[in-house]
This record gives sequence, structure tokens and C-alpha cells, in this order.
Amino acid sequence: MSAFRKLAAAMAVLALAAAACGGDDGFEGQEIVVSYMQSGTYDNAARDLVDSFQEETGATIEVVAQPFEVLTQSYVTDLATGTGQFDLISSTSWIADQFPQLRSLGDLYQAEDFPGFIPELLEPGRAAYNGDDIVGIPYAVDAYGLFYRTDIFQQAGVSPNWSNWDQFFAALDALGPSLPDGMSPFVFAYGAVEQTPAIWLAAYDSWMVDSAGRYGVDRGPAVAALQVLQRTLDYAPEGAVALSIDEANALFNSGGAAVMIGWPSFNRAAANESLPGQWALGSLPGPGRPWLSLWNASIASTSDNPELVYEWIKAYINPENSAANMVEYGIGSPFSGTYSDPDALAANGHDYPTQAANLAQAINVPWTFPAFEVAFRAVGEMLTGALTPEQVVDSWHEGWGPLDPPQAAVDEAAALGMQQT
Amino acid sequence: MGTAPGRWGFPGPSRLSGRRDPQTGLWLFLAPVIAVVAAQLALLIWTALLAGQDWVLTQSQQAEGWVGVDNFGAVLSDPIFWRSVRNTAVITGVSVPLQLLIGVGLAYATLEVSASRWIRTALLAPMVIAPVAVGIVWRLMLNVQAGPVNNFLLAPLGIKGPVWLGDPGWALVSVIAVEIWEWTPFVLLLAAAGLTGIPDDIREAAKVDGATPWQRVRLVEFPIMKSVILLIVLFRTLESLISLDVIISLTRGGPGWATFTLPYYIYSLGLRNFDLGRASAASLLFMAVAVVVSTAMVRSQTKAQL
Repeated sequence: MSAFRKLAAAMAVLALAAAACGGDDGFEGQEIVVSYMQSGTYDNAARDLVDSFQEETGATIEVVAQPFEVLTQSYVTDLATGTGQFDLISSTSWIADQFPQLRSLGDLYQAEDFPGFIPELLEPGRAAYNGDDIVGIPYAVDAYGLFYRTDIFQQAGVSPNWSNWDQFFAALDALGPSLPDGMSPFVFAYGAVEQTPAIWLAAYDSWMVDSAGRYGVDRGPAVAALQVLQRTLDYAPEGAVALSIDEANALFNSGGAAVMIGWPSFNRAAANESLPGQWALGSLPGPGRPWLSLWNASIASTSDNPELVYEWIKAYINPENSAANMVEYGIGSPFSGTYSDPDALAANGHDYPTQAANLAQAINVPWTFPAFEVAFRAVGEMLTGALTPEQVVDSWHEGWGPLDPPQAAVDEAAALGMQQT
Repeated sequence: MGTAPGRWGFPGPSRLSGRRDPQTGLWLFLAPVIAVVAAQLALLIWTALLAGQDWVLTQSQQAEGWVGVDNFGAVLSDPIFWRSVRNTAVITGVSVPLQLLIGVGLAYATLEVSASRWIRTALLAPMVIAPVAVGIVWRLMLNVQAGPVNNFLLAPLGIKGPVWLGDPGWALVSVIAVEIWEWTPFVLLLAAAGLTGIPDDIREAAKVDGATPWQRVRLVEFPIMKSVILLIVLFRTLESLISLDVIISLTRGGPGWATFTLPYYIYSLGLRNFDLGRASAASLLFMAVAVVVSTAMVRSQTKAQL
């Protein structure tokens, strides 16, 4: 455990102690099960907190971690059947249809419990809401960003500023002649087909739920955005259609590409180590917006100890602990102070300011996983040449036809301005 | 002479054989079988009942009404279902015969070798690796940028390797190749056991009668091995039909739907979409196919034994 982390944990415990002295105790003997994705990050950050939290509250905390592949189904099964396996659920928009099974935090949530939150993250469409009730507090955030090689752009005399995709492609064209051998202008994890909506979303700026509350997209802009995604492949290395996230990251970090669109939290540390002083984070071209990854801490409605879970949430989500988690585990902090701290800026000036700006703009896709699968599978077909962009949009509408969007997804789309008017 | 109780209080032999109704003993032995069959039937009946319900778990904690055969109709009219049927048929139809050919070939090749036990043990290694790990390891092996297959195996031979997992056709080939790599040892194991079980004097007699090596294989050993081979084909076909873990970790059914198989389809319907009605209908359709295939094979085996 780093000194920074120790300090943050101590401060979190001190805050708890202060709360306890104020009479906010009575957790002795209570037990809660808190659940996180098994990633070696969120779950380990939770485990780091357990001892001090247990010592302070006298409660017993069990941290359960599951891989992403089974996490969603585990939550849906638990919440839909009312089993009550977990007290704390790490909710995302993928389980929007289960938001009614999460406890409203209206009576527990106090804005001052989370000072300095990036304000947009608490708006409907980002944090978890069931109707007007907030049911989840963001604890880990990330936004798709654009890693670019500052040295390569500088040598080629190309400005890394673009406001639309045509300008972006023009910049890649301009880089071409001066790229070192073996370096492609661009790379993306096309092989992780569930990630391909990232580029599509950044090129699409219209509705994703129709006026009747059904899944759908605006055909013309949707096709145009798919064409952008297709065009990026022209700048990628051979075989890029099979690249996973890790493989694409490794390619960028080893000098195989001048630009990469990816999750900063997955590659920040590795890029800093492999390419010190040679990369920076940029914004995605418009007119769309970056894709948001946002994990919320929610309390299952079946929980017998919601107050204790809320205390846990406050201990995990606070400016000090979140900043420490970002340094130690790369977990994106939801607090604006993390990105503007002078010490952090001195070391991460090439990254944090853009990341904060991207987070403020980033959005969820208002789809549940079945709707999402319809989308990304067809995009995968397009990338291998089996479907045209027009056919992809047709297959989306065909696949979404039988699906009933949950109200939370419709609300989310409306809140993001992505419902057809 | 008294009937002393047996060890641990069970009736002694004379009580069982002499005074108790033989039917009682029979039922005692049959009881576990009946329990297992009843449990299987209960699950089957429950699945059949679910298949007739409109029940999406994410929308309701209870079934929302009886829909008859609508779920079957929905599954059968879904183009993804037929795509997954085709992929499953191709993977099983290509990989199982190749596993059989290679596995039996290896069994013959190692039959007369003095170190055959060690060689076979080494060849068994792929079978004992968890299928999920197999998928992940092969994903790394087939990586176009740095994977050893393209860069260290094919490139030195002047062959430009394909984009294994990014091309629909090659992705299917990759799944088949990994299936063969992982499960050929199983065929080797059973085939080797079958071959070593053939008495030497039969082989010697064929030799004395002037049979060529190929005639000995075709006319003497193959007929004896026929039931073992059918058993291998039955096991491998059923296992291949339900294979899911390798595909999830290797290709996730992609690119697109290129390696999306029937088990993956059912898994998606049931455990991702939580559409219990359609998932049950798809499961029953899948089971019907598996029953037809296995019944045909069992009949062939029975004929072979006659």
C-alpha cells in the first residue's frame, strides 16, 4: 500500500470516526456484502478499505468480486428474483431494467457527502436514476479518449486539434509520409467488437430511442457514423480487425500507431511507462460525444442494512480515497479536484485536463445489454465486409423490434437529449 | 440357523435371499435409478412448461401468460438461430471426424513405440487444460501482430498468415483447430485403450495368414474397434455440440455472428436477455437434435456389436 493510499485510508477512517462520535454508529455486529467487478482495481480498492472500516464500525464486510462476463447476469438474477445476495451493487446502465429494484438514495443521499463531484456525472443519464430518484452514486468513471504521439505530430508539423472527423482524417493523412517504419497512423480495438460503438457514438449526434419509447436510431446520421467507423480502418494496421483492447494498447505503447482511441484508465499507466513525455490525451472529433464508463454504488432494495452500506459508500467515494484509487489502481475519480490538483497536474498535465473535459461531455448509451448486443454484433459483421452500413442499421431495427426498453433506459435517453422528439 | 444382521445393521445375506420378498430388493436397487430419471423428467417437463410461457425475468418475476408454441416460432424464425445452427454443424461436422482421424492415427503411431506411455501422457496435456484457458492462450497464439503462429511458424516459411480471429471464415477455422487440438487426446486415449485390448494372437494369426498391414487394420482390427470408435464419435459429437467455453474466450462468437453457436445462442437468450420462454424453446429444439444424433449413433453401435 502506498503512502498516499495509507493517508487516504486514514482520512477516510477519521471521517468515519468523526461520524461515529456524532452518534452515527450502531453498526456493531451488522454484516454486508459489497460487490465489485473482478478487475484487480475496484475490488482491490474495496479490500484495502475493509480492515479500517470494520475496525471503525464493528461491522463485517464481505467483498465479492466477479468477472464482467458474469457480473451483469449475477446482478440481474439477484435483483429480479429478490434473492438478496448483495447489499451493494455496482450498477451500470446495462442493468437499467433493474433500477426499480435498487433502493432510492433520496433519504440517505446528501450532496455535501460528496463534495466536489464533477457535476455532470450526477445528472440523470449518467448516474443511476429510477424516475426522479437517484439510485446510484458514481465511484469510477472513464471516457473514451484519443491517445496521440506528441513527438510524431510535432515532427510532422501536424496540429492535434480537430472538431470533426474530416479534419481528423486529414491530420492522419498529413502524418502519413513522416511516420517511422512499422507505425500506422491509427489503431483501435476493432476485435473487441463490443467496443466499436465508441467510434460510432463519437460520430453520431441524434436520437437512440424513438418517440414511442422503442430502441431505434436516426437512419441517415447513423449510417454516416458507421461510415466513419469503417473509414478509420483504412488508417489502421493490417489485421487490426482482430485486435483486443490489450493488444491495441500494446501496439500503441510499442510504437505501432501514432493515434489510438481507447479507455484512458486501461492504458494511462502503461503509456506513461512506455512513452514518457511522448503522448497526450486528446478529444474525440465530433459531432458525437465520448462514450462514458460509469460504475455506480447502489444499494439493493433487499438490503437489511442500508445505512451501513451508505457509510461504506462514503468511505469508498470521497475526494481523498478516489484520488488515491486513481493513482494506485487507475480507477477514474468522479471528483473534479483530482484533475485540478497542482501536484497531479504537474505529473499529468498531458492527460488530466482533457480527461476532465471528456468526462463532462461523455454519455452512456441508453441500451440494455440485449439491445447493445444487437448493435455490436452487426457492427462486427460490417467490419468484416459482410454488411454495409445501411444493412447494419436495418439489422439493428430488426433486432431491436422484439425488445422492450425499460423505462429507465427511455428516461436516460430523454435526459441525454437522445430521444426522438 | 439365525439370520445375523450384516455389518452396519444391513440385513444379512440369508435375510435378503431367504425371507424377504425378492421384489423388495429389486425396488431397493431401482430406487436410485427412478430418482435420477424422475429428476431428469421433472427438469424436462419444467423446461417444456417454460417454453410455452411469456416470461422475461428482467421484466417480471412471474410468467406473464401462456403463449403456446409462439416461442418455438420466434426461435425458428430468428435468422441468428439458423446462423448458429449452421456454425454448430460446421464446427462439429469438421472437427469430430478430424479428431477421430488424427487421434486413431496417433494411437497406431504410438502402439509399437517403447516410450508410448510417455508420449501419450505428453499428448494428453491439452485435454487437462481448462477450456477457458485454452481459448485465451490460443487467442494470444493467433494474434496477427505478435502471435507465434503467424510470426514464428508461418513467416519463416514465407507464408503470410491470415487474420485468424478477424475474418469470419478463418475465425471458424480457428475454433475448429482449437477443438481438434484440445480433444484429439481424448480420442487417442480411448483408441489406444481399444487397440491394446486386441489380443496379440489375433494379429499374429492374421500375419501368418499373409495379411498386409493395411489388411490387418481394415479386416481384423477395425471390426474389433468399431464399437469403441462409435463410442468415441458419440462422446465427441455430443461434447462438441454443447461446447461453449472455448468459443466465449477465443472469439466471443465473433467477428459479428461468425462463430456464434447454438449453445451461445441459448446462453444469450437465457442468461443475458433472461428470456426464459425462448431460451427454453431453443433448448428443447437443441435437445431434439442431440437426441436424434445420439439415437442414430447408439443404433449404429448396437448394429456393430451384433
